[in-house]
Amino acid sequence: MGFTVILTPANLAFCLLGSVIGTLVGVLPGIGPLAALALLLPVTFQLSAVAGLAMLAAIFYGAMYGGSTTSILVNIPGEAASVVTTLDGHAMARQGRAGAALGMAAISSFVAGTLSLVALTFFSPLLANLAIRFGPPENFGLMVMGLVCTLYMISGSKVKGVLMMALGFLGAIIGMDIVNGTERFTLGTVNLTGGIEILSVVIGLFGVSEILVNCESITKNTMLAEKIRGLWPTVADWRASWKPMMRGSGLGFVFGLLPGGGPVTASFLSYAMEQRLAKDPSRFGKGAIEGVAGPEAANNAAVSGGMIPLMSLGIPGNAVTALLLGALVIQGVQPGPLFIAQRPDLFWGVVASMYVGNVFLLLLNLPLVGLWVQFLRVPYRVLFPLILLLSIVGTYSANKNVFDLWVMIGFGVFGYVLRKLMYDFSPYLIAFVLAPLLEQSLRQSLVMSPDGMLIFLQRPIAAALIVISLVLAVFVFRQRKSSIPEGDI
Amino acid sequence: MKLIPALLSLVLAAVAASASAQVAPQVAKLKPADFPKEPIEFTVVYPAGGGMDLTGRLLAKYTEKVSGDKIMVNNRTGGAGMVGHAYLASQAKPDGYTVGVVANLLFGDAMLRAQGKWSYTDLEPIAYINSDPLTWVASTEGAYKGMTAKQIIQIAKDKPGTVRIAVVPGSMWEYLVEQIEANTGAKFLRVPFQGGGPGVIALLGGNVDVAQGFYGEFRGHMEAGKLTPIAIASNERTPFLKSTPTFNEIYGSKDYVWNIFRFAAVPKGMPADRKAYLGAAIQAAMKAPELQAEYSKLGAYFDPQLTNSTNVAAEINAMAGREREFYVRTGRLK
Amino acid sequence: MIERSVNLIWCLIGLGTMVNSWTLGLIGPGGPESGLFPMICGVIITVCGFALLLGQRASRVANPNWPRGAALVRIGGVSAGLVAMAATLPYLGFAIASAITTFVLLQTVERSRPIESLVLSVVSVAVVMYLFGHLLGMSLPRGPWGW
Repeated sequence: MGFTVILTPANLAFCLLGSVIGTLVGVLPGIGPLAALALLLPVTFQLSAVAGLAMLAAIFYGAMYGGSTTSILVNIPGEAASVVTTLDGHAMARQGRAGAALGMAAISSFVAGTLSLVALTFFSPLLANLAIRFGPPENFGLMVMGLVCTLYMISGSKVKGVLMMALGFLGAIIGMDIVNGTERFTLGTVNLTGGIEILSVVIGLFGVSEILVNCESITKNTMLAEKIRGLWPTVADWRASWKPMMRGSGLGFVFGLLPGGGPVTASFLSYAMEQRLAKDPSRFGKGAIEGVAGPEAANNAAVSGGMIPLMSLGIPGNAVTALLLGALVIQGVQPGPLFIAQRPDLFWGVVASMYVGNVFLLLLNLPLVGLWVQFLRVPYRVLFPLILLLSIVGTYSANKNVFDLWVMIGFGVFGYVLRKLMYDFSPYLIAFVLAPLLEQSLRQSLVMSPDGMLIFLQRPIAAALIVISLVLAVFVFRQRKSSIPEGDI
Repeated sequence: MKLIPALLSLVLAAVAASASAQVAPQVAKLKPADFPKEPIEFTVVYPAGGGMDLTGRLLAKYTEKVSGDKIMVNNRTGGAGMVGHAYLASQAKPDGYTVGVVANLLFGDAMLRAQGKWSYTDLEPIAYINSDPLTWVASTEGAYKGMTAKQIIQIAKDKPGTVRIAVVPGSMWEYLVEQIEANTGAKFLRVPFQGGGPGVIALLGGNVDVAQGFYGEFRGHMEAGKLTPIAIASNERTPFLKSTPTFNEIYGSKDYVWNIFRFAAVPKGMPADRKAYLGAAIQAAMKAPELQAEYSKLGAYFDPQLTNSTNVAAEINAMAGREREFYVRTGRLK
Repeated sequence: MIERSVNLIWCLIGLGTMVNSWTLGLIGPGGPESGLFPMICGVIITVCGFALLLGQRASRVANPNWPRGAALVRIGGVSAGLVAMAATLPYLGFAIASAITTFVLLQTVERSRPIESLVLSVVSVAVVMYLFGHLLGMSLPRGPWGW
């Protein structure tokens, strides 16, 4: 039924529009789907509910398609969920395989998007009820598992990696303590009361530092180190990627569904999982296509996962879905358990639009691969001021506060130094995202529980998650011991 | 292709503007000579998509209609509102181009957290927008189903620390619970959350026994029969929840009033003519029945005390004063 | 040498965090207080910092490849440009601040002809301002002349 709703020219047009905007927004460093949705929210007031929602949703998952483009081409993430793609995607580009990376990213995104939509279509109510059951103890278990998985991701010195994680945790703690409202580490400035804006961290640490590194040896040359070797993924690529794609879809879907997850977490965890499961983990970071296929699938699947609590229960799992909720309310729709029953046309219309949108995006992104690759031929000196400008505007757009720019610059220099000293700082980011949720859930759980720490044993899901994490943690150390450390503490 | 939404908005806005009432005459009368020359900024200190943001955007839309000026909504977020409040109070220029769409949460920030750098008197209210009273909701399943607020509070008194209630530390969610505990001797187990919404979700999952929130936050679940409001902290019963008693009714008092009320304010020191113009424009927008309908959709209601008042600024400042008294009484302020 | 200083900085940050966390309080009646998790972080940072500081030579980065000469000038130039941009943004407005910064950056990093840089700066800024300011409706800071 939804397809009859969506297949009107007007609705299709807006879905397409949203897809285009989403891709663009994903490509631009700094501006992420949240900012774009915020900016375009007023436009939806004038549109019909289906058209408006279709457009906004399309921007959300469109950004997941587009984000990988800059990650692969210039090693600067388009937004937080594409950070992981820089690791192997850009390595592939440097080997002349940008086309394959871009193509695989688009295809993984499509496969994941469509598969997760199928799951949404059939299993929404069940999954929504599961999501509801996740209270603070379960969240805690989830976060612990996430952090343990991050330990896997650390390439190079484990000590440096753990250090990065601790620093990331600390960085995220700056601000107000949610449990009792006291200010922590804010150094007395108002600007830090809300904590450090994550966008500044991402753009600074990954984007600005990248530009600084490139500026060292700038020549009139372009970024292209070698000739492009073929624009499409090879058969070998397909064989290597299809399983990560599947796994990434599943992982992303689950993590999008659960609270505190979302595309960012999903992409990181997918990378960690692929690295763990690969026969030769040392290939990661050097151009392993699994490192592109998995995370790209994960971040797209997380979008559909996130839509489930929103549509079935009226519960937003993260800032973007919260915004979509606002859009629904403005349209006079009451999101909640009765939403599907009361407005089946809207619900199915939006779901259908997501199927269609994914197709649009695949058709949009694949042919563009050739075009994007041409970008690499543009001399860097022309490209980089534009990238810098876009990064600045993108970062500024988050809070309209110049302070965020200072943070970005600071992290840029910080990241530059870290790169030189061979620190892997992806763990910084993931700790930054996960750790505050971990702390919050732990403290909430302990407040709630009359028996203190026993609450984690009393609740089956939480207990299961913690046990799995402990098992995984043991394996991390086993893995370390078995590989001969080379200059590795 | 991105021009399409822009063009579409323009066309629709033009059609709407010409079809509906033109610039309201009483507003046009007050328009100062060379103002405004550029778009006016409505500053919202909370993230896009939230209740405050939607309020601000709707207000901007209708104020544009009645005044004919261009208005842009700007989210200055951070610090749970602190950054935006500090900006409005100390950095925004009082030249008429910045209007803050704020709530009484401003007072808490000013009194407790500003550390003397700015005060709520640095902002002057020019129009009242709407209110959202804090409501207690309980699940329709579980140990406390079917009970009234008074019964649950009694249980909290008889068995202290067993009834779990969701609070947002450092704000009215906590103050209401504190007040009830102080006056009735009950003792709740306060589980901290970042907002009313997460608390409601926790209620649905059985992780707390009572949640506190606003109508817009729990309405969907209420209609689905998953939870029910048991008491409301407002002056009188609201039109949407006619069968929910107010705390004042239950306890025969006048003290249990905890609303978010939203109003428009401008930085101190604005030229009187611009201030009057902006005030008139927003108040005219507030009279538009379509805007009132939209706000009702969001679950807000219009506190008669403020809607019908002739001196909104004085009323709002009086409320700020009462809040200050509460802080002094409970030892938060000297 | 720089690496050693960085490791030292980690130790200092770690210790500072531990001190600060202590003042925030570690354990309270309801469970962990504000200071517990920061304290854990502080301890980890300090321990790792010391481990790196005192660790074997093998763990040091063999050849960090710090920039020298012209490269250093370029890096310094880009950093200075970014700092200047952030500092002047509130006063000069987005258009002017970014145009100047872009021009200076181009001149520092690339020995291009001034005319080329000027044109490039103006065009880039114009494109960005159009994209964000008009199409997307974002309000970029205005300068003294209102734009």
